[in-house]
Amino acid sequence: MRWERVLSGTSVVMLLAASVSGQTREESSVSGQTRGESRASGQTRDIDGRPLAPFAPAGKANVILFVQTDCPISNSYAPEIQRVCKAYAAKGISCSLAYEDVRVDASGVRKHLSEYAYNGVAATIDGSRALADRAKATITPQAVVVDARGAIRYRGRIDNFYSSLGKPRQHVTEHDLTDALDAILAGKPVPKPETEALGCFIARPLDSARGRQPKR
Amino acid sequence: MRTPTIVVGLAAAVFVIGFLARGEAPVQAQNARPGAAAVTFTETIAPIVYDNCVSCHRPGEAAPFSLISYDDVRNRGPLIAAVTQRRYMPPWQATHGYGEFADERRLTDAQIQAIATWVKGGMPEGDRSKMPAMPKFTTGWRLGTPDLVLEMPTEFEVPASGPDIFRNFVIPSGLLEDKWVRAVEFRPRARTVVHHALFAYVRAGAYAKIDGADGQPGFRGLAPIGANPAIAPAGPLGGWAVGATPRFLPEGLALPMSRGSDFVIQMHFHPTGKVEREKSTVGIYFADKAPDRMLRVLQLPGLFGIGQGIDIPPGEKNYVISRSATLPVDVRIFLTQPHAHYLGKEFKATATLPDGTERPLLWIQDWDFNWQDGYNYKQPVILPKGTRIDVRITYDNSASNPRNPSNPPKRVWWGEESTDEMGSVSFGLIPVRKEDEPQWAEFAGQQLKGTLLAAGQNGTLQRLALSQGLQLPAAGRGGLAALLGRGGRGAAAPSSAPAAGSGAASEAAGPTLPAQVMADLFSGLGGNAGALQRGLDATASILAANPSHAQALAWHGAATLYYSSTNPDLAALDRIGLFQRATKEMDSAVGIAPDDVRVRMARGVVLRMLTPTMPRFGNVPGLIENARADYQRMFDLQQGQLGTLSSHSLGELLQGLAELNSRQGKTADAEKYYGMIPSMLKGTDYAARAAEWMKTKQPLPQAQTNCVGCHVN
Repeated sequence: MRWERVLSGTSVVMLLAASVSGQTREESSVSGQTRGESRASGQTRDIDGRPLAPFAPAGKANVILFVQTDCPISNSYAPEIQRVCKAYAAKGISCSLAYEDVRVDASGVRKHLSEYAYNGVAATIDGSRALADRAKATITPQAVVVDARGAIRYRGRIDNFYSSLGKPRQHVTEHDLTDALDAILAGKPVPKPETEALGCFIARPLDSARGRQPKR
Repeated sequence: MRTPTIVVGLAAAVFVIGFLARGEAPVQAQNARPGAAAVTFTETIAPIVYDNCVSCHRPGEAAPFSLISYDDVRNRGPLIAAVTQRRYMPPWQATHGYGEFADERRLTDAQIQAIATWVKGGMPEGDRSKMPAMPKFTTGWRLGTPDLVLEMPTEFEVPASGPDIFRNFVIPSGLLEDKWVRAVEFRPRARTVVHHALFAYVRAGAYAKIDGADGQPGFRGLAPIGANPAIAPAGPLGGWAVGATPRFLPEGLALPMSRGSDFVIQMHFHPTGKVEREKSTVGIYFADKAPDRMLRVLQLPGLFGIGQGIDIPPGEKNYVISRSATLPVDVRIFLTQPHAHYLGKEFKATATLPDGTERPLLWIQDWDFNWQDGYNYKQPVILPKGTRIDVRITYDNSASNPRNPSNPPKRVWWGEESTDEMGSVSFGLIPVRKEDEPQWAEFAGQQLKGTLLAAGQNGTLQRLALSQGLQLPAAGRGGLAALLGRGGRGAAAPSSAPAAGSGAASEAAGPTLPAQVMADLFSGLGGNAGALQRGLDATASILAANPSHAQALAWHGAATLYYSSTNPDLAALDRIGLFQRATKEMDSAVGIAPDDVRVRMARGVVLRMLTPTMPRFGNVPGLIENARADYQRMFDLQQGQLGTLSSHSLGELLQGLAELNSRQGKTADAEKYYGMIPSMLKGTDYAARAAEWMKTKQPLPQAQTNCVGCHVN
């Protein structure tokens, strides 16, 4: 199972943080199994410095959308991301954008938000990859849905517009993200809790030792 | 003659792109050393990236991100490894080794392996002193100062999302004399959103009526610009695609451009997620004098496949067209360019020399409409007289083709829209000897004639002529009129109607349609759109397995005709195309099984129902005669058993036959059949109508001739 493999690779740091914080709680993972996960690392701040808790939604669920300013696939999804966020806001589902650029600051994100006409969606810079690691996101764009209990209910593509890299469809035929949201709203299991996202890989943060990748 | 002008323009329209713009040259990279202990950025990866990627992946260019520094490349490392492994990058569609092309954008297997190894090994930078120098790129015009610079008068706004846009922009050239064009250099401003562009010149003001008519600059569509005799003088001037570098035509060749003409750019935009505003500039380079030789084009199949009768059933995964030609003289081929729309999948072009030797010319295995490249041969390909060139193109119209523009897939014909298809491989060449030019011209004329004949026979030419605003030639005006005059054939007796594939089998009725399909078809003709669609689908799938299933063919045609006549949303051209297809199918079915009552019924009923409201297009009297003949045949076939028919069947048969005769002014025949109704169908609506007719013996209004008791299910 791919999911098993991902879980087994969970960062030592994260496990450590979880055990130290003592806030480990049972969560229903996307595979339907229960796993201990920390909520301690879920807190962050948006680009204006306000606290943001993407893993603790105030409403029925929160969609964390992992994006990059210079990933063409991520950018091409900007209109669809906004359509989904707007449509589901009224139903009690919020959205947050997590910027996974290697280098971007708040003004760069603001510029990007304005160019792509984002409006009213919380945005944070995930420079340390804490959110990506916690959500186990590896690609932009990728959607991770956290329900009111803090459980990750969906992780994967927004829809199947891209059949493979460089091979967009003329027609979207599977709307995986909104299917997941509809299921959560209906109190049902998410039909496909995990799908493969296509796009740009999330690079590890820059470190001082050039030429060496920091360990995950 | 107007049509050959269309054709000559068309033939060259898209294809010259390859001459005036071709791929940036990625030169030899260092030999990668996959087995070596450490693959580093500075020693191994940077040279590969600099030679193959940064011409586009640098600031201000079309590619989405830069790959200039170590950090740039390292951050994209896994992505680069993935896309190079798949050979999606660098973009190059031609199969390596099948034709030797200049400027091939391709990494060697060793280079791809080196990238993979480097990424796996943690992407070390290595010794910075070994970092190669960044390649020098020309800023500004790459071919030097142009002789003429033209800019779009206003910017065009490309929305953030939605389907790809095909849009034409008109710029007055202001040329005071006729010129010869050696090259066109294209400079888009919103580089990430422009995918490819084609250029042409047209008579000044030729597009004035449609330019800006929808409130935005330019006009929509994929029509072959510069290829319409109504806008002559006009002609193609090459093109540009992402990643291409402008080039002069080889060997002093040049393309004409008329004084006072308008320059037209046809652009393909690919929305990026944010609103973009495009205002392109072009630089045009002129020759001092008219060139000594003309560039010749051999296109197979000709005219982008107009004569192939492209008709791809929905769901078809492997639809094939092919065409061959034998060279009349020795030629030098400079380049080749394939063309298809979104369903195109595989292109293969091979030359077989008179001695049997094969020369590969082009092979694309996974065609991508988004990378419209021309391919220049490294050395001109010299082929002797008598060489046969074979071209084979396949299409995938299944739902599993992610590029299929229709969901669910629909039947696809030849046409200019992105949802239609075309297919051809063009070769830019000259005869080796100048004295062979007349022979080449003769050969090209023959090719053209053959293509046109075929296009006329399959109805495509008529659609094209209409789409370009041409009047249909009057009947009886010679060659072209004969091709287009399909109404005349419609008027012929059913026995001479073209049979699909087989000689007319007049005795036995063929296989019969299932009862449920018949029920759907009847209900569909009664106005139930869902049932009509089910009937269409069912008959189409039967035909996919058995193309000469006469009942399926007849009813598919009847349902298509009903659909084309009653659907208000159809564009005029589509309506005409469907009309032609439908009547052809019904005529073919009658040819296959003239004595099958259900085959006759399909054509007779739908023509009787629809002819009263048909516009005077084609040959309506011929259609009425076909309907009458069908009813007469049904009557004759069932004459001995009229008493066993239901009153509905009998009533429809007699009323139909009587009414059609009346419409044709054959009052005596009409009276004969109306006269049978009162006794055989006493007390029915049919009897009341017959009595009504007897009063005047003139055709009754349609409300009194339509089907009695036909309901929408």
